[in-house]
Amino acid sequence: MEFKKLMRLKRSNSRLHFEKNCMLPLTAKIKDFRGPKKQELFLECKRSQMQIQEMSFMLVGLAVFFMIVLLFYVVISLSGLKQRVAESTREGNILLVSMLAGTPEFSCAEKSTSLCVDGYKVLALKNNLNYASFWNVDGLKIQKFYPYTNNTIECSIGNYDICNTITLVKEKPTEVNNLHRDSSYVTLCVRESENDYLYSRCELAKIIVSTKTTT
Amino acid sequence: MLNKNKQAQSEAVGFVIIILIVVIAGVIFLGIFLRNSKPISTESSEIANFLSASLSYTTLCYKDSAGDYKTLGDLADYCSSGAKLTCPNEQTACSVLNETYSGMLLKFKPAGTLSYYQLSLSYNNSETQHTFMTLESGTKAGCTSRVSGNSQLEAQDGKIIVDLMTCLAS
Repeated sequence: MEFKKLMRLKRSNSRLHFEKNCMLPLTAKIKDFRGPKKQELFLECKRSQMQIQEMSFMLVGLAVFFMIVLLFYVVISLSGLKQRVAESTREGNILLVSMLAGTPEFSCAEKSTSLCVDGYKVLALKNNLNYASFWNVDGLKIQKFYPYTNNTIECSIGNYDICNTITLVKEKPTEVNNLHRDSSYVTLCVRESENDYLYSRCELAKIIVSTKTTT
Repeated sequence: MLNKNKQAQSEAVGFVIIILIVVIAGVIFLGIFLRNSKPISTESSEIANFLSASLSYTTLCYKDSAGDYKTLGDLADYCSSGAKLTCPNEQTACSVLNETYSGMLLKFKPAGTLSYYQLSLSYNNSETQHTFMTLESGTKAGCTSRVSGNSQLEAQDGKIIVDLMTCLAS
């Protein structure tokens, strides 16, 4: 009688353990499960395992999918970053060059705009070698842009009307390939008179600054 | 047992179908997004400087006698108001303005490949605003980025705004 009770208890414990963990306890034997419910129990347990497996696959799949979407978004949003940085640097350099045109050594006395360069001042500076180190650049020139001439004609006091380039700091021939050039549009003006009228004759020009590329 | 297997298979097929639908919808959405994406528009100080400097360019048009030469900015003012100026070859202020800007823009080479430009000059005051000149050239097709800039100057009872929009092709 005691033995039967013990066996019943063992069976019920094994059943509980199996239902809870889908695993037989080490002490249990398969024969502990008897009757028509034996197969049903096994199937139910398998189905639950399958559902958990499906859910985990689904979760992994979803995680991978969202990671791909995120990666795609990051790649697209970063694709233009390099170009934007280059544009921003270029804009900064243009502003710096145009600020150079506004310095007292270049600016027109009679015009209020900062983009006006006095042609005669620049010609006077051209022969002053001390200024080459003052600007701390590797090349500096002002090139007439409109009216346009194809050939480069260096300006001097005598040929201002037919020339198109005023070189203030000449680029060293050995460094030409390692130089980075930034430019800004300016107005190049000279004071002239006609019929008792004193006026500024202004042309469209570009101020070009060359600096060594840093690698 | 066979029924359970079939159910599992149909669930797997359903899952694959859902994934396929999501992927196809994503591809279609991306395609539409990329097709309709407008060119990137930026303001450029290069263009603003170009316009600002161009307005000070001295032309051969004068008011009273030779020597009293007017700038391109003055010509824009005269053109918008319709006032008379003496210009070479009996041209009007508007035609000299048009010709000079066409010549300048022909030589204008911003960073990138210029595929199209539109220059517009308009007069603006507290009461009215009208565009009195528009110059355009090139084609907008293949425009990947729009770079624009503007400059303005004081005119009679108002101001003149010069706007340049360029289209750069990749």
